[in-house]
Amino acid sequence: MSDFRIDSIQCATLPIQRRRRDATHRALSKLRSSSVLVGVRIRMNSAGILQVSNTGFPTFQSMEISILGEVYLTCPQMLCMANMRYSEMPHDVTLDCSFASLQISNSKKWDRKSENSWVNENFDSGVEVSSHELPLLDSPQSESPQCKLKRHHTTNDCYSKKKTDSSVISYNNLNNAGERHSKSNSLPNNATLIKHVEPILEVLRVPPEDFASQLSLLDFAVFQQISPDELTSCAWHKRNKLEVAPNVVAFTRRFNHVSFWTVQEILKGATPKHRAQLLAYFIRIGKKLFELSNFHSLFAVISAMQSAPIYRLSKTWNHLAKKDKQLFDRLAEIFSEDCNWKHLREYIESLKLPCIPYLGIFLTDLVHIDMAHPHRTGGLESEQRQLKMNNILRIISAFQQSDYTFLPSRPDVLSYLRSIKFIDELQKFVEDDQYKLSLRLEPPSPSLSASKESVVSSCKNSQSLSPTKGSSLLQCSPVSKFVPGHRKCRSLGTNIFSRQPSSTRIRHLLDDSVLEELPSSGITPQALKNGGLLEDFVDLPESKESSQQGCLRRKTLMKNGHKPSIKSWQRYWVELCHAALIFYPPKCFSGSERSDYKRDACKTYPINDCIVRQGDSPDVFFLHDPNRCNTYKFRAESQSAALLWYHELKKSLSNLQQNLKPPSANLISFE
Amino acid sequence: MSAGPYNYEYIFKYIIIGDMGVGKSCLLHQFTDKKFMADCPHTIGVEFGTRIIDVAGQKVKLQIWDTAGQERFRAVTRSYYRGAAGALMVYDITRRSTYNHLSSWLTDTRTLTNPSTVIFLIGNKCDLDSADGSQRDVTYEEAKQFADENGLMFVEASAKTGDNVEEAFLETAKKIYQSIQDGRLDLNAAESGVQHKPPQLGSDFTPNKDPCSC
Repeated sequence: MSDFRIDSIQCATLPIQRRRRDATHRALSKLRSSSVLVGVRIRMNSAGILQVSNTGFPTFQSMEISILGEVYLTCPQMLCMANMRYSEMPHDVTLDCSFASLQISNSKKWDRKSENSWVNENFDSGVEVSSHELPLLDSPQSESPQCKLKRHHTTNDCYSKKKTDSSVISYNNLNNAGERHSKSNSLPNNATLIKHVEPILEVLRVPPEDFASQLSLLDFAVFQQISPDELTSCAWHKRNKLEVAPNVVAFTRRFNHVSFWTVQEILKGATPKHRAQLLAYFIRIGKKLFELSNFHSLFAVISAMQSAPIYRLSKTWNHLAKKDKQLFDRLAEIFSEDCNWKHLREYIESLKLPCIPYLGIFLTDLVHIDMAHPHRTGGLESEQRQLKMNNILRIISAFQQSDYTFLPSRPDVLSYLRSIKFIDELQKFVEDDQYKLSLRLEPPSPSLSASKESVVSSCKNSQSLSPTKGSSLLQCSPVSKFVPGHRKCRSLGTNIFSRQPSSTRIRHLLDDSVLEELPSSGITPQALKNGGLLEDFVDLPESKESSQQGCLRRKTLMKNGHKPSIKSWQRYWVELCHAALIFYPPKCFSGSERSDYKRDACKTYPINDCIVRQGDSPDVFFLHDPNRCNTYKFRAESQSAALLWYHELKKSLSNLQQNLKPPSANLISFE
Repeated sequence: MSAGPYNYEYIFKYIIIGDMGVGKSCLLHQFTDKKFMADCPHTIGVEFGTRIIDVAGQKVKLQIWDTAGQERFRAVTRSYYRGAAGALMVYDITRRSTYNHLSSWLTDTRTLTNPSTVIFLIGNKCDLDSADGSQRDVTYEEAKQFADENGLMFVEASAKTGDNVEEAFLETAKKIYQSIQDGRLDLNAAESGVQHKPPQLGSDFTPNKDPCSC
């Protein structure tokens, strides 16, 4: 058994990678179908790195594989997926399939990374390190005859060239990212290279009390660090939050990680029944957390279940056993905001230590005190302010006297839990992804007009706190049949982005700190040519840049020189921006307005060397890419639209050929 | 506590949502005439921000919830949506980022509230819109268009000067009241966000929501 890993130089921006996730999944399934061993699990982590871990042997060994575009790697002597279901794969974020850069590294590199990867939580990472220190038995991967690199569409020359180019770019970007994050201070350096060793294969195999206890240990360690100054500053959402209130931020982050993790794990269930099982499991974790008086993680778990992606899964909730459901309702009731969090405050007041409270209510109290008695700079704090804040600080510091040392530490669970990372800046993307996944798992009812998909789900699920109860209400309640005024709009409002001027600042996804270093200009041919994929990261300000846009249907006729096995029409909102076509996926089944399509592009296709020709029928045109041997057929809404597209494409192509030398590499491709 | 006569017919639950620092609490503060919980922030069992208003001759108690300070907790606002009859969605006209984020807030609101929930868009801090418009980052027209496209009511307001603050809360209440009159909003639905308070049988109807004397 060897311990080796192939590592990618990640390009800087996860949002790009996120859109390539499907490609990874495809590659993953290829990988799976070609492997034979047992006891190994492949997963994709949040950095788009595939991890293959082997727990079938006394010493834990692991290997990481990056999938870059169509490139993937198989290691028949090691791989295996016999016990792996597609649904078990984490649907985290991401993959970069745009940069074809591969780097082979050994465990030294790994160690360096693990130092960099996450330093916020002050725990030794004994388990992880010990697994890294395993001797490197094998020669570097590329020389290993058992390993095949399958490359789909370009020559090796092309790849090596790209490798050099994009290595530079990605390093630069990484450095930028690092700088940026040390400014906003919420992302560790090299965070795109997060790695994690995952000895825990399936959540369900760990007893819920173990998760509860280990979560409590992790939470408490952070909670204990929170100092009064951080709280009185009310600066946990300001730009300088990490300097002024680092532990409040870390504690909040713990909350969010637990919440994301819960959502993610539940969404891994492929069937409603499986998801209900996971849901029940997390409810049991919640119960254990309640027994440990860890209201922090308890609320994280509970609110994950009340988050849009989980809450709307009415089939899943219907599969939940009644007693689990009741348990959930009881736990959720604690966190009802009624009467200024009456239940929670009462509970907490009646408790004996140890207890980890939900900090949020205290933060709200502090904010309101701050507002009622503002602290003028230069002057003394008003007596009232001081008095009131001190009351709250006293309560919190009393909780900090808790002692959880009676809980046994389980290193494997701890390291698993610590491996759950969500990059704060990308929270919105994770949320979006989870919501989309949820929609995929249980699509909104098709019986109602597709344009009302969000409305349908809200009708279904919003009747009560308990989704099951909600759906039963649906049957008898006249309200659910009615779709009142503002619901008639098809738009979910995402189209506001199309009007954004290009000067838009990119904002920190959680607060408003502006991420200065991000480019905010649109795509330029130069950027495309240089492999600056960053245009995928910024909101595309197409209004200025695009010469033509509209809704088109696309069918792939030829892909990498092969005919695809399944040909189907797919709808997109397509924009022609200089040298690329940008595709936006639809939000719903029909509709031809911009607002019917998502604001995030799903594909960007450089058209530099493409050939456009008119089709056999008047509303059709073809785009042929001789370099990649791809042919696409497009169908416009009308004959005139097709003609317009044809001419615009023709025009930009001829412009491109005049202005640009042929691009050095095919940096982007359809998955 | 339930012995006292109710001097209102309905309770409407409102929530205020929006990014950090858009002035949610200030709006609440402004509207409730500074009689809100700042004075007893951790007192158990008191309502958060309330005010009794008059809608079409009926007394309506607005119960306004605000989670300022907790925005960083990813999920807190999600549980908080349920049972809201009105949602005030606030952005800051001087910060485009808060405007850009509205779509997320809207998606959440629509997924997690009733279909009948009235959503009111408020562009806050319009006092900062100086004559030359230097601080303004989102134009009125743009936001108005967004609101129209999404069927939202919209005003620009200033929590600082109080401009349009009353209007936003009152218009929302009118719309909710209208929904009740039309039968669009079912008072018996568990999470309608509206409670009817007939003077005689108030307490067992909603035991949790007795008005507080604070």
